[in-house]
Amino acid sequence: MEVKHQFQRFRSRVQREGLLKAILIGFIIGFSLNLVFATVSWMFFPSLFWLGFVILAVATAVSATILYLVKFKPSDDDIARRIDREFNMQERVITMRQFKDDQSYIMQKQREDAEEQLEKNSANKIKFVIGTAVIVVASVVTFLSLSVTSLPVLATLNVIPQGMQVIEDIEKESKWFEVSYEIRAGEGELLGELTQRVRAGESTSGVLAVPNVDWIFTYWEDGLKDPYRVDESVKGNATHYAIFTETRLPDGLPDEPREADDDPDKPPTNPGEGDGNGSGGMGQYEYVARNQVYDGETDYSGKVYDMAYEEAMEWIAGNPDISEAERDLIIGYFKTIEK
Amino acid sequence: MISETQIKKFSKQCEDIFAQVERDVVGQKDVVEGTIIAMIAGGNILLEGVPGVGKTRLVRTLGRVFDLPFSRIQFTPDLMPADVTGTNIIVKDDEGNSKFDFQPGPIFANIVLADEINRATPKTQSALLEAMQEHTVTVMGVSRKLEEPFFVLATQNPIEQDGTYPLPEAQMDRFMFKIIVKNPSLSELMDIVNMTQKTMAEVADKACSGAELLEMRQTANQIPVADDVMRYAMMLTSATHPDSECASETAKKYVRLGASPRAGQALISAAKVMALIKGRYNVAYEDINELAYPVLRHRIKLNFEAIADRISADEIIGMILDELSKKIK
Repeated sequence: MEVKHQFQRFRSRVQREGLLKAILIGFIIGFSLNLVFATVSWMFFPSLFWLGFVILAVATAVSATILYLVKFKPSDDDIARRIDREFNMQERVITMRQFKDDQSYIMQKQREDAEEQLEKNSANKIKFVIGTAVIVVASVVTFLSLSVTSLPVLATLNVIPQGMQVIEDIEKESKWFEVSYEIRAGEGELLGELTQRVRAGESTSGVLAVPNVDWIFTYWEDGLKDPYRVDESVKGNATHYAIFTETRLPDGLPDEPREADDDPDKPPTNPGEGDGNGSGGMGQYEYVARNQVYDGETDYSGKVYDMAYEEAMEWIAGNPDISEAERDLIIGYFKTIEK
Repeated sequence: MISETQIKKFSKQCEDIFAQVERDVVGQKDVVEGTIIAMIAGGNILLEGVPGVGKTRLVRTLGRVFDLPFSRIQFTPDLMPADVTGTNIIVKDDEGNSKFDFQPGPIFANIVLADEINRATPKTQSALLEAMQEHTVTVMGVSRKLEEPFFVLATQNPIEQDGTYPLPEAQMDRFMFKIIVKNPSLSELMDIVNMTQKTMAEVADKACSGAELLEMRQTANQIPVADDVMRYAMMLTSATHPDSECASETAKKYVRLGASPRAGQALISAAKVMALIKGRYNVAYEDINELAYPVLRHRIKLNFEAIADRISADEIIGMILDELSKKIK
């Protein structure tokens, strides 16, 4: 009887250790599920964040109970082995347990001996042995779980956006498009970065279409008439083609260009839709000053060029805020068209 | 069934045996303890040591302490099996008829000292096999039972190997313990010289009879062994085999042949005696660990790698014990 009582003291201590282990691992499972639920909740239904705490409580209770019963509940032999190990009992207690039904004299002596040794030791001296890995994992999972649980709470309070919204924003920000510029017809040159990678919604840097001698810039294939283009709020990959038209004068027309009398806003005539005086193929525009590339002026040399150049330089001087790149672009343009 | 009287008697007799042996044998505590444990457990003992360290004296003293008929056989290359077991000789009876009469050899004693056993030929060595295991001697087709208790205490010299015949595994396996008798320490040496200056006579008295020794064996046999300890002892035996399921990494690396099941039997029998001598009523892991060396060292056959690395059997046993203790933790 006394032996049984002695053993009972140690049993409850070792059982408590098993229970503690089961609860710790139960917490790891519970907090892991809570972590998953909190993430999903933040994504799709932040207002249901409280359900995570219910999951945490239920999962912890269920898994701790199962773990204790299946894995951590110590048998009498386990407890006996533990006592032997902890107090260097030289296998007295395990022998006593395994021969508990043996009533021989030698076993009675053995039990007396084991009891005597047991009495000398206190159950409280059995230290709880819990693996460092379990403690570390439990701490990390608890910290992560509580941190992530705060997300749907904050989203419900409109402090932070909902998870899906954040993901969409991130996706948007992380999208890049390629915008390139090429010449589809005629002879000329494109100045600027001709192939650009641009983040979604952002603008490209400027590209200028400069025609060669005897050619004029007509329009970009998407209808833009300005030879200098900047594509704003890019939403996809794109290639923009510049179209140049030859300026050879029809027979019988004066060499000097005449002043434009057309409406400047009139869209350019499509290639091939000439008035019949051209030389066929791409078709020819009527030689009008408004088709020229710089501010409606018509020539690249002589007085007109000088005036235009001078005017551009004055404009640059009068606008100190313009960027160096823009200034270089304007100067480069004049250098390119200079005869 | 064992009684309180028997247990008390066991303790008393053990004390007396040790006290009497100490009167003639100075120091060598481990050797004396190992020898007495093996004798109580009923095993044969192989004592290995250089000449002059007291092997023969110890055996003679034990013969006197246990008050048992003692015979000594000096093994030499020309020793024949019949010189050990005895033989039939032709004698005339009262009527003048010739008949065979069996003349028992020195093996017919309770304690047989086989001195320098490795000097005899394998044929003569093998004459001891049956006696050591079955405690019977068969001559000319007639088996004769040896009187109990029966022990063979053999000695061998580890250094003078010229003209010797190393004991085969089968013979080795029949020794419960192989005990290494080391040189005495300085203080022991002084005691030995002081003692022998006074008298060379052996003064140990009888401490127990053969029948009492058998009773002690029966008492020790009653000591319970927990399943865990039994399993541990068998795992240890099995771990010495390089190809067993419990094979240790050390055995895989250094051992060619592991210990036989007799090693397991010897471990448990001896551990029971050891526990009772220590005043404990159950066998502990530490008993097994302590006995692992004398029980296993002569049963492990080392491979070439162990010999090349100069690793001894004792070192291998130590490594196996380390591995095993990690496994059971």
